[in-house]
Amino acid sequence: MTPARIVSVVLLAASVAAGTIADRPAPRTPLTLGGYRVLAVDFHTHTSMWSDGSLTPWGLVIEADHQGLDAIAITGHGQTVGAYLGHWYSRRFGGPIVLIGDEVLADNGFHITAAGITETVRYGGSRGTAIDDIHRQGGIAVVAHPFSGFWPAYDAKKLQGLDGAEICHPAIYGFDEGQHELEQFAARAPVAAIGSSDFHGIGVMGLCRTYVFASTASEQGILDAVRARRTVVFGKDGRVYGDPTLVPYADRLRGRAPASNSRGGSLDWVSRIAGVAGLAGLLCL
Amino acid sequence: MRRPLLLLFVFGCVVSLQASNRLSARLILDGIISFAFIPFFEVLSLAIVYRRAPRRVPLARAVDAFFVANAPWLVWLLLFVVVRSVQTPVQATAGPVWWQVTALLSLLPIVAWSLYIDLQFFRSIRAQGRGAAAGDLARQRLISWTCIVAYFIGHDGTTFFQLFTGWLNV
Repeated sequence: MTPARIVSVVLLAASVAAGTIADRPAPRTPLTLGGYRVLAVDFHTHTSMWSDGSLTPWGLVIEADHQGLDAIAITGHGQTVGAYLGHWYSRRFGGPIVLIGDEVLADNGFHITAAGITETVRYGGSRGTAIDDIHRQGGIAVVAHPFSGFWPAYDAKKLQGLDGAEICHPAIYGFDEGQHELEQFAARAPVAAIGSSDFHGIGVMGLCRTYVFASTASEQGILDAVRARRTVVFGKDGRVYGDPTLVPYADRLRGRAPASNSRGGSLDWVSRIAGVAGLAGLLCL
Repeated sequence: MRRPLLLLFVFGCVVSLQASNRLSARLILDGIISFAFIPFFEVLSLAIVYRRAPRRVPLARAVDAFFVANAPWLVWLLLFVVVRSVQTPVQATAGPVWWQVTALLSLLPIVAWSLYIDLQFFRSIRAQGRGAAAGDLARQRLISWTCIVAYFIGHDGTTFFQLFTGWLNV
């Protein structure tokens, strides 16, 4: 091995060691406000098991813990295998609550995430709409990223059956009109405000999250709270959405999520630069 | 098998940097497991194509040589993590549209470059019929990319197919 390669390997190893030591779960102290347990939930995440994500189901649960989330819904595309694996892992080894979910693209572009279901959402014929099937299974139906391109799919009848709609989705940071479009949709649909990261592995899980005011810290408690619209969500520029009676608690919730505009401390920088340089050396030298 | 393992390690590093902006053993390992299907399907497709005609080198050596064609992708991934390492979580999660389009367009020369390397590879290992190398490459790409895409997007593939056929009015 050449000296240059040895230096690359040493840099890489030091970076991995530093990164692993610094990789600790975000502090998560139980919070009770207004008589409710406040839980940070991400209702829209994907695994690498046939669901175009980057982390395994168990990796997703561990990452949720590191991002200070109390619960996640694992929403595979038309399948619940990854969600069940994550659910099993969380119960067996501990971690955030995992809701079985499914992301459904149904009925001419009608795009919803289901959470709290027991099997893949099916629709059509005697089963009725996708929303009917979600409710039959005891779950909640949340509109996924309802930007203007998706609006034609939602008529008045469909809006009535919904339990929530995403008012914060990472795409709002990508184009100027994004947040305004979600606000316009929310004005049409009087449902629970939901923040979801639609996590596929690019970026940070829980960047958009929902603070759910639940009676109990349980799957059922979360579902009941969403049905009762007891949620608070932070949008772009710190704007607050959700139940008007709970919005006054928003100041108590600020700062509970990991900073979204921080590149980390100086040690993080040094470790990162060493890692990237080591990787470049390993590949190029 | 050094090169397939290197590819997996780079995948793990990319996943780790993407999710946390640091290299953590936990996330590297998870990324390796998550993306193991890519080298698996590449080796499988190569083995299938390899059996069709006499070859100059044994399969094990050919596999390692074949993964040289991943060099362009590794360079692209390296540039990707360099950019990510200076981004905030918000910038990494939802870059502006122009950035996403640029990232996608930058894949075009990578695809062409890796195709060229693969073509040279198939030309070099065929004992006879050098002209058939392009056919080998097409078969290998068809098998591996179909399997990779089908595994990665899973059931959503049928949805995309329905949307596509609907758009074509088929």
